[in-house]
Amino acid sequence: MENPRPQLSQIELQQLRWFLGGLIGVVSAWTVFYMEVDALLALAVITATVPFFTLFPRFSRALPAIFHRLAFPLIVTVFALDLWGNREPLPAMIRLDLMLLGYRCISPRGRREDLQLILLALFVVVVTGVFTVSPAFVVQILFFTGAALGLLLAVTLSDARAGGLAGNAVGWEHVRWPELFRRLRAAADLRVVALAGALFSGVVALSALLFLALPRFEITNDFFIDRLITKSSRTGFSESILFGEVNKIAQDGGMAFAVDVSDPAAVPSDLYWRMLVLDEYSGQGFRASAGLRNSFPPVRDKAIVHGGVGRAREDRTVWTIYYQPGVSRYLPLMGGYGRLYFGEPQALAMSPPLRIAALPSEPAKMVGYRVEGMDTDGVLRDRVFAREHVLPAWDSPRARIYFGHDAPPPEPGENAPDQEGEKEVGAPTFLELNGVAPGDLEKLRTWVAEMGGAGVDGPDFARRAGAWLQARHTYSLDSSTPGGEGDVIVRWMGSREPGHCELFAGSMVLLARAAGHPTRLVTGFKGGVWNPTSGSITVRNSDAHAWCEIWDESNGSWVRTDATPGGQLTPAANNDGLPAGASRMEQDTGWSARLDGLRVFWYRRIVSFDQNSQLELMRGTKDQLRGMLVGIRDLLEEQIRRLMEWLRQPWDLTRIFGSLAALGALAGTVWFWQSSGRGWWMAWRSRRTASHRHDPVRREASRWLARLERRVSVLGATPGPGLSATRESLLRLRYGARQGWAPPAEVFAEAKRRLRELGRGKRTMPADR
Amino acid sequence: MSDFFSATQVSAARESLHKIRESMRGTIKGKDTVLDQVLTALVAGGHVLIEDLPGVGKTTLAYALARSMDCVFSRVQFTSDLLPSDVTGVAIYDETIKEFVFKKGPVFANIVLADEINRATPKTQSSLLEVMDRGKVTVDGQAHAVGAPFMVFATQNPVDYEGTFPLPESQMDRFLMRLHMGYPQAADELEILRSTRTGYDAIAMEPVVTRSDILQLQQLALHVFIEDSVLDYILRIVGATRTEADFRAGVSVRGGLALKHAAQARALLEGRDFVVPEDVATLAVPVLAHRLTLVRPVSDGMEERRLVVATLKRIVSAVPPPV
Repeated sequence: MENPRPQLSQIELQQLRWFLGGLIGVVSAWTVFYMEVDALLALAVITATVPFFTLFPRFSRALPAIFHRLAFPLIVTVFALDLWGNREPLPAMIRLDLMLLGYRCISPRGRREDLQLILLALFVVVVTGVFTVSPAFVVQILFFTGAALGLLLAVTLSDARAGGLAGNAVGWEHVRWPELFRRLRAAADLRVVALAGALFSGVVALSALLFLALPRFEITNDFFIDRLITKSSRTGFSESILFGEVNKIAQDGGMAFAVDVSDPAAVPSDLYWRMLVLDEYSGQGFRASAGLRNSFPPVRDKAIVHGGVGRAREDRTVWTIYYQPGVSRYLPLMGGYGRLYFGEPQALAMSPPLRIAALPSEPAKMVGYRVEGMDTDGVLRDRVFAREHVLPAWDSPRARIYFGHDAPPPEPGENAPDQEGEKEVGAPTFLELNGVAPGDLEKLRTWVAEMGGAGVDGPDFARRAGAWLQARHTYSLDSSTPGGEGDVIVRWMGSREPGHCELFAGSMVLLARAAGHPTRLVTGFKGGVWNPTSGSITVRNSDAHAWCEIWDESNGSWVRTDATPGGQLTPAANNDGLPAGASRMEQDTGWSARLDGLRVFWYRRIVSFDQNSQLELMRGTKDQLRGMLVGIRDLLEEQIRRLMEWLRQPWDLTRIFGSLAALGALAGTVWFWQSSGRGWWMAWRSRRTASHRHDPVRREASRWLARLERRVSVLGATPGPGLSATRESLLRLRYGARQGWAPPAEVFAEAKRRLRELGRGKRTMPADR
Repeated sequence: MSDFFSATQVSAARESLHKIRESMRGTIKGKDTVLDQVLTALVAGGHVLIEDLPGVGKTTLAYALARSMDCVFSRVQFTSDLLPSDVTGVAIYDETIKEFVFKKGPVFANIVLADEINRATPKTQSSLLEVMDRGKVTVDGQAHAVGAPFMVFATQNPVDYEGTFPLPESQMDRFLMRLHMGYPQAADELEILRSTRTGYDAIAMEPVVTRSDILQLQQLALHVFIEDSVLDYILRIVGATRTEADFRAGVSVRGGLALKHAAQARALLEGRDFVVPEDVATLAVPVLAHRLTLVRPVSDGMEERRLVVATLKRIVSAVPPPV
């Protein structure tokens, strides 16, 4: 084989090892940024020192011996103090790993230390991957694998060069990086690099195939480490919302969740993702009252499937939601639902009267779940509240009605015996205005009268109040409330200041309650954009929103009302709930949308790739393959049938001669190609090839020379004049000037003949014939 | 790359060189490899440095070559008191014509034997080396061309270093090859013993080619085709010497060019108008070894040469030839 590459010297290999080690150290340490581990100091130190020492390794030699003697005891002491102080083993271990990694990167390394560095880096990368399950992990692990393989190769080469003797080459610390990389480029055979890259890609592809093909195991999320890292909420949807908090959430443009819809045509015109229902007004915001919290049953046992309360069970649309970590423990849903599936057994708390579901704690990594039979029309029926205007506790007999979707509405008096001894959960709070001073209450009633809201039903009131609010206030994220005494919302309503969604929603709640309509505040997300890259809906934190649900006495249901300008005052007003289709949604085609699409693909095909997805994929692949095979078989059968028909036709002289002529032409073409055509074609290509290296004639001559010499060597033949002449001709084709070439086709034919003769045992070739 | 020339020219060249070889064989017994190397150097237009013990036939070799080609032969015995003018010539005042005339030194010949070159002072050595490089002598601003063809056989005794001035690396680089005669085989030596000849002056040889034939051969060698992969092979060998940790410095660009010219000459000697990798591999050691020195010098000169040659052979065997 031709190998025009110089070899790296021992010093250069040592320099390469140093560089790769530093690179692995820094990149793997940076992966900790993805986790909520408090390791900023260690990361800052590594970021500052490791690149410096990597680029100027001579300073590593200059570190005093006392530094190396004290380093390990100090690191262990810091780890012990960290563990003792924080009581969190895994974060402490990650910080320990970072300290060791940093030390390994800046101190001189031999073979053993290089291997230690790889292991330390591997620990960080794997832990990050397990916790984040993010697409970035793929990049990290691929980069790490490539760099670690490079480092191991350099270690092996330098060991082999040193004859297995450990020890660094003298003077390697004085690096001229441009020169080293130039040498590395010269030493690297691009063909070998390409082959290695192809092999690496092949292994990755094979792993991906195995991932897709292997049976799914139900691995639960019960690893102890899952609970060791706590992640603080990024956006803060909790049971208590102060005015301005939702607005603050809307400042963040990050993705909150992505939604796959089985039938994009079923997407309603306006999407309201409910997460929290709040009832108690505090004067500074809304929170969940004790009664509301009691409507939540305890967290159910872990299960893959959780049944719910929804009217749309006949709806076969499936919504798959990829919920980002750090948003909230409450799951975004548009209303009641029939069933809710998780990829792995998951504990869930669900309030049937509120149609709200929550995880036991805020997830630290993406949670994927599938919702079937989800109500999207913004109307939530509530039989118990309709009858008694009471929110029952989760364990009250009245609450069970929520768990039986098909249960008939209770007859009057039916539940009377059950009500004895029923736990009281406090008066309903959907009408309370405890935080409002009497003077402000009077103002509210005045405004209700002004808008003609007295004596109308809930939805009608909502429309009047919404129109009244929108006539006085415009929408703005940058809003302010006038100073003075009294309730902040009442002050705002009395002004002409612009406001954000919380002010509009809070005002609607206060006005409705003052008019005697039970009303509650809902927080969550409104809208989303269609991502054509992934074919999914993307909802961002900037879509965070607050709106209300007002009681509709006539229908016994809670009706969504959004008083914020641009929102729907009541679903009926705009015919809400009718599918509008994803095609009418706003399209997001920017680069961030493409990245989001990639992320959704990752969630869809890797993270949430369960048995169903696998079966679906396998079935699709099988169908495609079968279709292809059937197509090929049909084609072949058709051709054979035509041939047979043609053969069965009567054979006259014209057909016989025509067929013979065609066969003769075919044989002649093959013979011509073998004898001359190929040589001519090669010679023609040779003339058009500027590079000797890629000259087809030279390459072919090289192959024939190798065959001849191998055969002669195997047989121990004595080259006679004929064989020598053939060899000489081949040598001329291989190394000689083009002007002196004999016709290549003839030379190759002669070489073929010589080889055949040698194969027949003619060890000594006769003279040229 | 090079002009193509006809098969007739190639076979004529081969025939001429064969004649010289056969002519020299009558005098130089059992040294076919050395003869081939000398002829290669001749065709490549280079000079040779022969390092060997006294009395193994170095002078005879040079003389036989000169006689075979109808060339002027001269010999200079280098000593510590030898002056540059003793080699190149001197301008003396001629009373009869009342002006300075240039009296040519021994260097004005075709084949010059510089015996024990390392015994002369560096100044004298460099005067010869200048002639080797430029093919002319400049005295009083006037250039005097030496013979054409012009070839120097310099000899050194590798054992006796007492009172010598070793040639520096830059000057070693000017020799195309370094050769070793070595002792002859017993049978060949017996034949030498049987002969009645007492010295090289007594050698009776008839020229088999003319000087112009040699000049033509030298021109022809320059046009021997050398394919890119073979050039690449030369580069890889040269490059490997530069990255080898045992060598203080690798082969110079001049060294690479020397290997190329020598390979072209050998191809002609073998009757080819193109170079094959074998030409390069065969000549790598004689052409490159004297241009290399070890990082850790060895006090024994013979041992140092042996180590250099061993390392160079290892490199050549490690660099795969193009196929």
